[in-house]
Amino acid sequence: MNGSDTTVFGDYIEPDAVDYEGSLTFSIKAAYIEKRVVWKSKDITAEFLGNFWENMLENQDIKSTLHFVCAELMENAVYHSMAGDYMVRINLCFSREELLVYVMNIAEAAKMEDFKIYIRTLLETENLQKLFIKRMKEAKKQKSSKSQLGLITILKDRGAKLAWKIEHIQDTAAVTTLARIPVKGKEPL
Amino acid sequence: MMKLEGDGFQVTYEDGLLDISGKLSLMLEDYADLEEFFEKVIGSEPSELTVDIRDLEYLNSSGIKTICVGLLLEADEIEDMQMKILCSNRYTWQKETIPTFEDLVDHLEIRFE
Repeated sequence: MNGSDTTVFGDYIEPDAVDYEGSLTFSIKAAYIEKRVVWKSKDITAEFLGNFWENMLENQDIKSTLHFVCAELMENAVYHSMAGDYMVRINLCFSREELLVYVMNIAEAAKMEDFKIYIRTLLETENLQKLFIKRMKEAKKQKSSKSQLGLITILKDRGAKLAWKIEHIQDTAAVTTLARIPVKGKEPL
Repeated sequence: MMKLEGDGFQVTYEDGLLDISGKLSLMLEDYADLEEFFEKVIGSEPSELTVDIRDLEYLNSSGIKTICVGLLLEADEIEDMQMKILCSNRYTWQKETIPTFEDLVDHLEIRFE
């Protein structure tokens, strides 16, 4: 597309480059739907996806991980979408080794610089547990209502990897967050 | 007994026992009521606080933040308050996330069953 520039962070792979055995795409254009209603459907969707793939893969642990990852990525997408043209797309691909969850939303380009700094911190940090503790103590000190804990928790507790594609189109940005969840890597506890 | 009920969840408190159950996946700004509830619990300064989440099926990241900041870190400031979290092995998320709370405060007992 003319006038667009694309940046990729982490181990990003396009869906069409994945040798997947199944995929599912879900799009919500919610310009006229109240945020609270979208919020509720996000939970229903995330739970459905968790149940669906649990059944497909016969793997109990996947359900809870997938539910959390989908719900958190959709929460972020709902929060950071531009008002008025509010498009969230979630795409799940299943290959032999991993589940790939893509969540795309349109955000304001002006907010991307801060976001990119945050992404780099997440990808470069060696100790996520330390970052988690630091964030919680800062949140208490600053009486901040922001949590910024979703992505940290996905990386730290749910065993997934994260990558991003940010495509600037004039004054908007299409942000695709990719969570890669290993299917076989997780040994039963 | 103090009680807070919302969409899909219930929180009760009586004599040092805080029970959180259901699914907590509110929008960040909607956690204000729960924060206020925690404030009252801590304000009553029990010598021992047991947080029972054995029936807490789901907790989103804003909920994790609310519990860490509004409950654990605040309670940690009360001298000599013993804190215990009762968890369930039934829920994978609890096994993954709750043990990471241990570094957050000095004296926290985490028990799984």
